[in-house]
Amino acid sequence: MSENLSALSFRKSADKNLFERMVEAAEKTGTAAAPETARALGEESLFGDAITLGAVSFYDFLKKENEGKKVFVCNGSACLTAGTQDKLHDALGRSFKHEEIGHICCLGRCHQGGAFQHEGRNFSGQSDAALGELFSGGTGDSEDRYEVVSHLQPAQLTAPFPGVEKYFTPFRDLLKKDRDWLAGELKDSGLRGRGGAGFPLHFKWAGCRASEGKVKYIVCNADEGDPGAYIDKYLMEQRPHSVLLGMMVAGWFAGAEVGILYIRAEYPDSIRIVDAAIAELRAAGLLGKNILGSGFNFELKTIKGAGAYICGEETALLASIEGQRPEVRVRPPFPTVEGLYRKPTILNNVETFSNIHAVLTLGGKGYAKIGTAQSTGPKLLSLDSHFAKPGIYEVAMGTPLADVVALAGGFRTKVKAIQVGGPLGGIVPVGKIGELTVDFESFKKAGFLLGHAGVVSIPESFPMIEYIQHLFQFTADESCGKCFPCRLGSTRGAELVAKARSDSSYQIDRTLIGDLLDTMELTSLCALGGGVPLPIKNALQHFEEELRPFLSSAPEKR
Amino acid sequence: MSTETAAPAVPMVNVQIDGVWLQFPKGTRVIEACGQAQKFIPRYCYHPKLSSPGNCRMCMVEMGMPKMTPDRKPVLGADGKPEIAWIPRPQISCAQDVAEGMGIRTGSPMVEEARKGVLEFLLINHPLDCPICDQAGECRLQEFSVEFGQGESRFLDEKVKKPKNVELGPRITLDAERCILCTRCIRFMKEVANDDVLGIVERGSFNSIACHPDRILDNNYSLNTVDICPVGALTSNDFRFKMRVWFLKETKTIDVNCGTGANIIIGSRENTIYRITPRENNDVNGVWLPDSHRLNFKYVADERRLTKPTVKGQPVDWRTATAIAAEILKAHTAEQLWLVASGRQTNEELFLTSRLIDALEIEKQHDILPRTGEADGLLIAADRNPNTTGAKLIGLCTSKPGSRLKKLVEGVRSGAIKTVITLGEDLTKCGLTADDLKKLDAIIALDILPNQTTPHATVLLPASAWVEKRGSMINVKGRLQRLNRAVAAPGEAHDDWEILRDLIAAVSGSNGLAVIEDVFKAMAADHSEFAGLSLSKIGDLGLPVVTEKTPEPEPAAAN
Ligand SMILES: Cc1cc2nc3c(=O)[nH]c(=O)nc-3n(C[C@H](O)[C@H](O)[C@H](O)COP(=O)(O)O)c2cc1C
Ligand code: SF4
Ligand code: SF4
Ligand code: FES
Repeated sequence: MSENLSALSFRKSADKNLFERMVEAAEKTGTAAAPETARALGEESLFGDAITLGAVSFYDFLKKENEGKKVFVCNGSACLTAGTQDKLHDALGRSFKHEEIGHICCLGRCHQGGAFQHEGRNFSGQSDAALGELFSGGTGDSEDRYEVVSHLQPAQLTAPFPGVEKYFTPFRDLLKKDRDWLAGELKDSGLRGRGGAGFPLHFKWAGCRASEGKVKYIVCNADEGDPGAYIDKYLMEQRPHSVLLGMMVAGWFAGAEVGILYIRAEYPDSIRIVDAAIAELRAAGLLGKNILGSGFNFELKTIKGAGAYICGEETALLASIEGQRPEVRVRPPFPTVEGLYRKPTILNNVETFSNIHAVLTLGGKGYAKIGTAQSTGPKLLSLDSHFAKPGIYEVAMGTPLADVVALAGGFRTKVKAIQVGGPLGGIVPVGKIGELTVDFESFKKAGFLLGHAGVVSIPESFPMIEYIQHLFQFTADESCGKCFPCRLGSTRGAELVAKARSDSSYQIDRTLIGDLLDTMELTSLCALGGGVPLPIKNALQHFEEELRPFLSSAPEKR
Repeated sequence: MSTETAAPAVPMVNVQIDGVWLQFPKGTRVIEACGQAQKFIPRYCYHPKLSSPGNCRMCMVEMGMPKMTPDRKPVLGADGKPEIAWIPRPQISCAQDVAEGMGIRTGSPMVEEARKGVLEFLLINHPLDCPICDQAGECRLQEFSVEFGQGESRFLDEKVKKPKNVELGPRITLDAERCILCTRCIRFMKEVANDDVLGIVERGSFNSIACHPDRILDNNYSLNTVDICPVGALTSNDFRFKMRVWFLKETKTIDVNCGTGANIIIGSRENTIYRITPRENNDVNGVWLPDSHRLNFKYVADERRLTKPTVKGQPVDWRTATAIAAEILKAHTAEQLWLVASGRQTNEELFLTSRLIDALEIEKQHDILPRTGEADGLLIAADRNPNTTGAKLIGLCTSKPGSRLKKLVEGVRSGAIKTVITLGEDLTKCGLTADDLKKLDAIIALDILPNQTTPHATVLLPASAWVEKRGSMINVKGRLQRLNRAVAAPGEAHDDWEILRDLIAAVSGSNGLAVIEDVFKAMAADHSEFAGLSLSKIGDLGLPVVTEKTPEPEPAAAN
């Protein structure tokens, strides 16, 4: 369907891409949805009119409703369970009109709560006094402070950065080696994608390398949309070179000359820091034409997102860069064959790329010694503000989850469950933490999902029914709307729960919600609609007693 | 000369559908393969002529691929056929092609549950106003919910309200509440009509179909979106609420607005036409039809229709009218006569016209009136006569239709031509003026509506419109196709071929043609292109009869 559009977008892609111009247009007024703006963009890019408006009205930060908003309050899961946002809203109400306060979903300040964005800067955990100072013309304190701890020794992803010269030694060596050698190392390493699905990296890279075509792309998925996750944010802001090195290796391996990092707008610092690191590498002669005389040409650039969770899904992300509505596409074709602008593309998560340095320095077999047989290498977790020492924790795959909790000093508050892996990850009752190790298989076997491994705590004081409603509502808000089960099922689910919460005479029919979740799970096109039933089923199973008043007692037979 | 060229081998693949192994050409969509195996798969978003977005999730089947041994050989079962490893989740069948050894289950419990679940979600947002919905009777939602669902949704109380009457364009209204966002309309406008005015705006459950704010859906193909909308969310302003579809009689015929000869269905009731919709013919129009062609039928029911034969303006009976016409013709020498035939006549009529020409011995004093416009690059041909190919074949015009009309004008002006027969054409469009017409001894005109010529007609013979008669035409690509009668001609109007038959008989004696089939037979005897055929053998989809490309007719002025 998007064949022609991709081609058109490609034709214009050399200079400034349509999506970037949409985002730019919105920076002036808060929206790119004004008919004249949309039309001008459409004309310039040779797209049809309907396409451009359709795309623009999709994004939180481009659509019409965004016009005139001055401050954006985080409504992500971690800030929700932190219980900070009502108070924050009230406090902001003293400096802003109601219509000037908008929402934003997760700024990666989950370790502190109370997160909001103002004039392109993120803040969290601000006292009333600090807020007052900030809005009366002060600069405020936007620094992001959290623990970075490695349980794994020696640390890999969180190891101190030794400077460009030293860090890129394995890359320089690689340029003299041959690609089949790297293919073997990647295979031996057993490295699997860290974005959630755990797909073996060597398959993807080899697939793209084997795809025909002179033009190929490397795309880094830096849309880290999972509320509660700030792993990619940590890497981009504190270890940006690790991501860039991974992309450069991918480019060399597959024969791509352009790498694009799609970074969410909620992470302004990440964009700034990655841009600086790119400039640094260019200055060091590690980017550009004929890098270090090897004949390898490679350039990197960042593209800023515009507020849409589904842009983390790979096909939606590619459509977004192309300036189309970021709707999920049916696969095949896979991006390795037809990706960005329909060219072969390697698309990986930030953390996945960051692992490449370790594969090069330890060798594939050495890397595979870290972790379990099926889940190799190091993994980062991000812990939210309910932990005594919230922050980024590096562990070897296979490490008991309880060790991570212990390392973080346990919980500050009474917590009944943790949701690991974002809104589509499982809800793990605290009693089950001891049964899990940090790897794909352990979580899967126990009926949960490791996902990207952001951790959100659900305190005892937080009603599970409200959390379920939050999950349904999140899905309804963020669904791309392309497929019926997700678009309609999530809305229906949210309505059912809202009704049960507000009307004590109403109970949700167990069969009905069971069928709703089964349909979403079985028939959705992507893992948003297909994935959200998992945590809700976990909650229904493990918190049956707490939820009983909201559900019809006797499960009906159909 | 017959060097056997082997047909290009289309590789076939073996596919198991509901336990039965069948063969399909490589490249067949799974959903189509199931259909060919008589297992209909419900679908909303899939349309065979458009891209497959896979968004409605209705076409779920169970799918599997052959089990492989470690050395990549298929594991064979007791029956010697490959064993299948089934994918644990249902898969959509609209976006994948069949593959060797693939297994498909179209009705397993998992599949049924999945479809039931999807349908129930859909019904939620649907207003269930079937009694007042135009689509009722051809609604896929109604149909599938009975066949594949539980017939109702358990979520009934919480419908999202959306606008009911959105004017998308001059001919199309959207009921956003009924729309299930299958995107067929969007894809049609983009992929077929090449006019990208529709799109989805907003996100998730707010998604809705919209035109760009500055644009309207006024493309000449816009009404096709109504045909393909599976649930009646798009309605034709022309047809809306006028008639329930199940009351309509459907007549398969062809369009006559241009030389394409698009295949159509006429929906009529009690002699009134309510709508015209396209009929699938992949050799002609696919499944599409331009709006201009669809809506051009009102004139058939015009109250000014000619309903009685007249002589010098006075109503007479048919026998009298025919006799007087014959007398006039016989009273003139051949040199004093001219005949204007029409590219809108059927082959049968043209053939009888050629017989009349023979009877009158006016071998070169005839032509047709060419009509040309601009081809739209889609379905509208530059030739706006539907049967120029037939007229050329049967010899009513030269290879340059209209090139002889100049002679008609000269002859009338010089006084050499005294009487003109016109079979459905307005002579003032052939280069003659009203004054020229006044100079003539007589005009014998056959037509359905008054025009600039009819007031001058000595004998005026009321004929039938294309929806009122049977016959055949040959389109610009040389395809012989069939017209069928949807409604009866008004008053005493006669079928054109009968008028011609009677006129020939009156001029030269009986010709033994009793039914139209006889005309076809006689025509087949004279013209080898029709040999071995009959109206019934032409079939609903027609047949190619003229292979070499007939040159596009030149405008008359060019000669
Ligand atoms: C709804 C949804 C959201 C996703 N969000 C992200 C994301 O924010 N970041 C990410 O890397 N992958 C995300 N993914 C997974 C990507 O589609 C893709 O699998 C991944 O980026 C591939 O990289 P990897 O193999 O390195 O994990 C998401 C998937 C879905 C279905
Ligand atoms: S499951 Fe939801 S997010 Fe995924 S394609 Fe379907 S509508 Fe879009
Ligand atoms: S209007 Fe009809 S064809 Fe268009 S998306 Fe809606 S249901 Fe589909
Ligand atoms: S027909 Fe809609 S998903 Fe296949």
